[in-house]
Amino acid sequence: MNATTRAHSGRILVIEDDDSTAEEIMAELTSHAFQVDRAGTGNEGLALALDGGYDVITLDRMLPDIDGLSVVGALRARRIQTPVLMISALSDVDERVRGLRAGGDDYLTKPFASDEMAARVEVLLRRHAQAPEPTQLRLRGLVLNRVAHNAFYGDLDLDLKPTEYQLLEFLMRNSGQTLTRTMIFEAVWGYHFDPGTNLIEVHIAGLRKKLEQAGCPPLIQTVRGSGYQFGPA
Amino acid sequence: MPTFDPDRAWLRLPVRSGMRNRPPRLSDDSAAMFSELWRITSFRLTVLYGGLFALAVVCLFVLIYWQTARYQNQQVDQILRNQAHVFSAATVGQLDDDIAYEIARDIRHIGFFGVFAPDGRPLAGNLSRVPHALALDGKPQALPVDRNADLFAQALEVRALGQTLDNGNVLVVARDVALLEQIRQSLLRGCFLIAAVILLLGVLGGVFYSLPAVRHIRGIDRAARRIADGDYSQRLPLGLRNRELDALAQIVNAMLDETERLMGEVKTASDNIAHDLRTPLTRLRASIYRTQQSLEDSSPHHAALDHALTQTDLLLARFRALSRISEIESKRRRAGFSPTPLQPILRKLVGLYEPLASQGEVQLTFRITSDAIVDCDGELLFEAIGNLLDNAIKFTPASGVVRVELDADEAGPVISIADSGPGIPSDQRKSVLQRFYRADEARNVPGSGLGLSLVDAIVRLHGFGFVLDAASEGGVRARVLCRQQRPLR
Repeated sequence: MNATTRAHSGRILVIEDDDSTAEEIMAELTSHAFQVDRAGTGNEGLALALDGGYDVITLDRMLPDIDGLSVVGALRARRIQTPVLMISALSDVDERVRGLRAGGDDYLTKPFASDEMAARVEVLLRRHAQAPEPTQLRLRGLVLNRVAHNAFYGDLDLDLKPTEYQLLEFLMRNSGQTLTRTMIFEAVWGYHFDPGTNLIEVHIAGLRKKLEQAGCPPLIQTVRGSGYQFGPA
Repeated sequence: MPTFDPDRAWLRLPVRSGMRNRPPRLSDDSAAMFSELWRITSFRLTVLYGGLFALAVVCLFVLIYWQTARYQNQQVDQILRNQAHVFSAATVGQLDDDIAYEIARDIRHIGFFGVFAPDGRPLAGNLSRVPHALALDGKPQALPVDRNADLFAQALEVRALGQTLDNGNVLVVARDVALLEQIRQSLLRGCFLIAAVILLLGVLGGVFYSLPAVRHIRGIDRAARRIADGDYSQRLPLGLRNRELDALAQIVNAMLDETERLMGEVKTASDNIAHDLRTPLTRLRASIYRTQQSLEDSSPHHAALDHALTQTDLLLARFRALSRISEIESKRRRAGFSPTPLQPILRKLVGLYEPLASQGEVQLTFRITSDAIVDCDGELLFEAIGNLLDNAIKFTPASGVVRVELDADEAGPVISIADSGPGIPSDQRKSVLQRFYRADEARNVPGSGLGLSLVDAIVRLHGFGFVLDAASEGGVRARVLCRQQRPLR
């Protein structure tokens, strides 16, 4: 599956003062078929965002005029709920908490892998479009009951452990999207550090095995160099 | 005084010092106060001078006593000689009268007189016999009172003079010198009293003079310990009186200023290096990634690019870990701290690592005997224990065991992770906390050698203890001693 071939109708606003970073973000997002605008300062970004029409905003935490936290705060104060991906050189956990508390929806630390950034933007876009979330997810014969926290393939209970259920839920909710290991770790376990490559891999392997035992076709794909994706091979 | 501890510097180059030699902690209880006071020079000097002065006073009193006694004896002896002279010059008839007169005149009953026939028969006076041990040489002498108790019942000390008269009779004059004894006793009493007062004043003065010094030294001790624990913003306190200590403290403070400045520079430089290297590395990774994306799925170059990506990711992970360690180490705030129950964290961790363990055919067991709540940054603690678990599983061969336990001892909850792997030789247990250190046995196991440094940094931030020793299973037992337990509410 090649990411560049997929079509998006999303409009993204990139608020970033550093030219090379902005170019990098824009190049990556454009290659994912997004329509991208850029604002070089906080005020300009705020004005553009207030005009509306954007599906996701990437926001640099440190801007020359007004702080990124203030930008997101001003947006939320005006009831503009456009998802915001905060991008910052400050990796401190406290900074992340502050960014999310101010109204950011996700937080990415510089320097970042651009595919990870794009993956996060896609997840934000999907999450925003998807609400309200259904109580049942059905994909290719796989049924995920989000009330009973179980999953069936046909009539067969997959008998998932809580973590396996959460993992499958995250994958299914974002089906068709590339999810990096860090994103999976953050979403399923709720922690924000580097889990190492092996750890998520064995959990995915376990889940794949359960799906396979139920006779389910392989639905969890490995995306080369990035992570995983739920969907047909 | 803790020495400058280079292992706090950002990159711990070249080797982190092994054992931390700490001076014994100054005790806080007042019982140990005296021994502590005794270590203060001014106190010791004051007490020493007090003792010397008391000794001088004793000497002075001895001298006064000795002089007084000599003078007194001379006086008495003169009286005895005079009386003997008068009596020996008198005629027999006169002698009786003279003696009777002297006795009558002696209202204090301290004079004794006797005239004895050559055969020892008493002829006149108030003595019934010639005193024992009296030499009849006409010279005043001290008489042994104990041998003449019948003659001088009340007397304590007697001086006497005996002489043979021209007619062959024996003349004895004696005098009770009890006064001298009284003087001696009162002198001795005074002497001891004054010596005691001087000593007491010396000790009190010493305490009064030295207590600020003790407090000052305690302040220095506290500050020095914080500095040794990595808080380089601490400075040694200056006292009010102790100029020598202050001079030293100022020198040390100046040294600390310089150290802090240099460390700040090193840290900034290292952080910049880590950051500046991460940025191009990230770009490198991006271009490898994009190249791979543009390849056909059947392309033979995928394996090579996969390898390049893996290596770049590894490098990036190491830089991230380095930055993370320095970030945690430079953390002064405890913003993320809150009372956190340990049990859910450990359960989550065991769940997270369970598949990794079963993949390596390692049995992961979990035992909890405590439901402790600890003031900590739950996320950081999760990361630290996760690293320990990761290590334990990684180094334990197939069909081995990794044991996770949460206990509590009197000092607080203890998280223990033991494995049946090869273990760490005791001489390497400190070195494994160094950045990039890899035990010889670990060379063929993938890893960065940063995991335990990260654990160490997190544990230090919390003020917890971190102990590596041998597990009963033969491998490593890593224990995090959470010594800040809060009672359950």
